[in-house]
Amino acid sequence: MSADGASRSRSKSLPARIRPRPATVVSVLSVLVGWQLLSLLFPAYRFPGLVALAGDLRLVVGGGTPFDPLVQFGATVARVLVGFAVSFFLATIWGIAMGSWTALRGYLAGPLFVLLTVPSVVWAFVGVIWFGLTEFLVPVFVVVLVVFPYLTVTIWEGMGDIDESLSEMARAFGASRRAVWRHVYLPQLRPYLFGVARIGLAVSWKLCLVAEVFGSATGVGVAVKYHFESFENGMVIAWAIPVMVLIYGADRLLRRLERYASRWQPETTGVRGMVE
Amino acid sequence: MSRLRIAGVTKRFEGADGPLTVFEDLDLTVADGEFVTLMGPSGCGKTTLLNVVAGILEPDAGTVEFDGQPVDPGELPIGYVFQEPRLLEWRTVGENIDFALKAAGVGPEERDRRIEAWLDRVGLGEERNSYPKQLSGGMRQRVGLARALAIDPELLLMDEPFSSLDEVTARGAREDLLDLWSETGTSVLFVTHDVAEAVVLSDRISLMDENGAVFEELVVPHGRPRQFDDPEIHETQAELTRLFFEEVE
Repeated sequence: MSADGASRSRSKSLPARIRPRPATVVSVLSVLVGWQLLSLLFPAYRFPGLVALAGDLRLVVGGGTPFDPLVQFGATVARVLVGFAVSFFLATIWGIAMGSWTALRGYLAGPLFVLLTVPSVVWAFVGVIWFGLTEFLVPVFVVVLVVFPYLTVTIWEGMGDIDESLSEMARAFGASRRAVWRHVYLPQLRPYLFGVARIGLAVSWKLCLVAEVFGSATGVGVAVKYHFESFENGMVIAWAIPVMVLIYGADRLLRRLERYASRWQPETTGVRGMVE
Repeated sequence: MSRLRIAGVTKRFEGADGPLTVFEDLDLTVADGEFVTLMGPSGCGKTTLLNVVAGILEPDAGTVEFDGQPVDPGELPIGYVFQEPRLLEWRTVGENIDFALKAAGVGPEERDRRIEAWLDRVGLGEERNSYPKQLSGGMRQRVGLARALAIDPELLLMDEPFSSLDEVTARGAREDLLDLWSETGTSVLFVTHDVAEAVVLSDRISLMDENGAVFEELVVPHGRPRQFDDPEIHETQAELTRLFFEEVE
């Protein structure tokens, strides 16, 4: 009986989600066509066409380059995940603290705004000088110091949007601190947390590559640098594509989770709501 | 004995140009099972007083006594119906009531039973699993009422609960409220600026001026049930309006 119910609710929502929208198909196709047309204007080593790029991608994934794909992709993905997780954690604590305690705000805001202005390349060089060429430390260090201040600012804004009248309601009914966080604050912060997760993941990956170029002996960044030095533009791009696909997939997953979490916000309000 | 006795209560807010006194040395009582209305112009401090009784705000002076004992209002089982429904939009109707019941320390089975019973009682038995956004304004306000009554409150605070409803819906809601009140025997402290509403609902009406002082108390001389269109009620309403505007204008 329960399985029946589950499949019924799934069949209602799944097909629309899986079927790509016509606009998406058209936009992806036009990017591909545009790319191919542009590539005809340049020599292949500067701007490879789609077929050449597919060949390069096969080489990268199949291990036909001086770099083992599993090792390089594994290293980069692990650094992105760790850097992102640390940034997200720090930003959540820092942002909530700034939003909750007016007395602390001044102390916490100062360093944050200084951090926001430091260029990522500076962190990369500073990291190498401090820690040398490292497996994890320099890339994660760069990702965290650049990403977490951005995320913190957004979460802080989210704290400012918390509806005080609901906090009053909770207090009037004598709800515990824990219940207030769980049922009143966190649900209101949720869209900000999801937004921060999606942006944070995408930016972490971009920064991780920069850090790897400067401060690491493994990772996609190292492979990219190698092929850049030998003028193989197709390979530079081909190395980036698998992680791009991964990050895109993670973003889709987060969006889907977000939609599930905000199912209380009906896309079509009940008829009674419209009548009113 | 008075269920609620507010004695000498003062509340000030720190404003930009020094402290602002909302009310000073205010006294008010609500007897067991009594329906008392506090009537006053907007901004006179009626809501602030309810918030003090509810324990949302600390008074700067004075005591709040309950059944003759001074209490920390935060400890009292008080039901509060706000001007807006103040529902958690991300929780279902049932979960919204559950939130208040859990806070009141009610056990799981009893919570379930009360949610069911109170939703039925306010005519929303079918809406337990709906989200507030799927309901009309009147229905949302009834969820707020069910939430306040479900905790079996010693005192029910109501802050202009019908002012955002259209007159037809509001009239129905007032009748429902009177039915519920006579069934449960709950003591009610009701706030409004609507003279007609005050006369129809209340046993006693306290009139507050712009400075937050109670300047007149009136016992409503009509028996119950009251007819909304009874000419005698209209007369009392006219009398009260005259009293009110003589003082306030």
